[in-house]
Amino acid sequence: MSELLERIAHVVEKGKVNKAAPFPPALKGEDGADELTKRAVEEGIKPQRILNEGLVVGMMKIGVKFKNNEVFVPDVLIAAKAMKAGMKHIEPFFLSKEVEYKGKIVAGTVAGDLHDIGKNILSMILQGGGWEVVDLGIDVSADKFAEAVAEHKPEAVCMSALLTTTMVNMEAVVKKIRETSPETKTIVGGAPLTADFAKKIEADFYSPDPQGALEYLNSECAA
Amino acid sequence: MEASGREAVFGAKEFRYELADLNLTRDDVVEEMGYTCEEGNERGYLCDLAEEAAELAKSNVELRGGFVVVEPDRIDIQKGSIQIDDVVFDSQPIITARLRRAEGLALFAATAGDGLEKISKELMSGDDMLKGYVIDAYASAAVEAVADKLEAELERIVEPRGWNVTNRYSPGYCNWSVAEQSKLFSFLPEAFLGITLTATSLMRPIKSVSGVIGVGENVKRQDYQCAVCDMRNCYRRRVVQSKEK
Ligand code: B12
Repeated sequence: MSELLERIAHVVEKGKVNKAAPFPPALKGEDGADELTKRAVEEGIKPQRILNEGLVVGMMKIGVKFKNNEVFVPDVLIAAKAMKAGMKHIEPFFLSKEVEYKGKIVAGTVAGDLHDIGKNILSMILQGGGWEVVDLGIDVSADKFAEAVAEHKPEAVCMSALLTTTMVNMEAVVKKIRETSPETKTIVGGAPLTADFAKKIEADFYSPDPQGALEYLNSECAA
Repeated sequence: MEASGREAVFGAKEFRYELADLNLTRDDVVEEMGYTCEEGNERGYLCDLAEEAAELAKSNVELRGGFVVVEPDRIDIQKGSIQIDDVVFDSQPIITARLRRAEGLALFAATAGDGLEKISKELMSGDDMLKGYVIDAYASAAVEAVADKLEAELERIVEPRGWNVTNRYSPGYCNWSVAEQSKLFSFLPEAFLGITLTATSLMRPIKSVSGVIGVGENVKRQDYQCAVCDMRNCYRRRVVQSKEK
């Protein structure tokens, strides 16, 4: 039984979406996340276990490799696609509360910035880690962040920026969240950021990579 | 003679390219993403996707580039700053050290248009993140290739004077603030190449670059760019280093 979960983790990490998927070539013709997750559900394995001990483990593995520069963005994207194919079979159980997320995150690219790839990858890795992510998109003002926090009551807000001219807009968001929802953590990231900058604007956490944010969330914010 | 010679070098020049004009291969794009297209490579699908992106690009890029070469008598290069007419660029010592011997300065911009950006966004928010990402990387590589092309144009133009060119340097690199892009664009014709700047100094279309290239008898190109940059955790550095191995 746990062999199947291990197998699910493996195909997610390798990005094997389903049997028909041509990549990775090494797994040609074998079952992917789609078939294996379906089978696990049919075999009666608890959906929460399939998620935590199968799908999430696979994404964690690829996230760690990405953090360590052993793999690059494309591999993370394929793994996320495989995860998604597996999640399809788990999703119905969220409604019946048989499966629960670790918590909720609001994510967005700050005002004045139109870059979304970095933020998208962040969102995928957090989702892959078992968190529910509300993605506000790009060019998100401090007010919009605050409104979303009031509406969704997330454990944390994740902000992204790709230019030094836009990362400064994170400060207003951190301030606003602190005023309106002091218990919500603020996490910042993006290519031009540094730990010093994050400290200066008093964000709760900075990580150069999404995996760092996930580890922080898992240890500080998970229910 | 001097007057026509002036004309040939200084002032605004604009170029349009087709993809076939660029020195841009599928392999460049895949390398941009951190991988290679070697034979028997287990990530061959990335190479296929890069080929698909190239195919899409044919009808969805608008490759434009241009520059204004500023005359020596309008330029004053100090340690850390460059003055052109009454505008002072706070371009910082790393860059000014490399431009110090320049006589003229070419202020340039290049763009790949917004066609691929739109397609990529659509795919990324839908079901095919990977393809969307490859198309995005293709567009980034394309605009860099346009900038390479511009360097070659500039080289050709100044060569009759016995001048060489430096590498290109952009606001936002080597401590030169991105915000200084507005000063740079003030020397380029209105709505140059269709590029506009937002209040946060972001160029639209996104797949655009801007910068400065020094020209003169005593300047030269340097090949190892990472050496001048202080971004340690950059994947480009890793790609360059793995190639050197
Ligand atoms: C490709 C690239 C380009 C391409 C495409 C740009 C684009 N926006 O689409 C081109 C060639 C067009 C380009 C142009 C320019 N660029 Co550029 N570019 C890059 C490069 C090499 C990669 C960017 C990228 O796509 N990365 C991939 C994505 C996935 O990474 P990411 O967004 O950073 O996100 C990751 C992490 O940061 C993190 N993350 C992101 N958000 C968050 C949030 C949280 C909470 C956490 C935890 C983590 C996290 O997770 C993501 C996954 O790992 C970076 C340098 C680098 N190595 O990062 C420079 C970089 C972004 N560019 C830079 C600059 C300056 C420019 C220009 C202004 C230069 C110029 N004057 O021409 C222009 C601006 C273009 C414009 N439209 O205005 C600077 C920006 C810093 C600054 N000084 O402001 C960088 C950082 C390079 C540098 N100097 O160090 N660029």
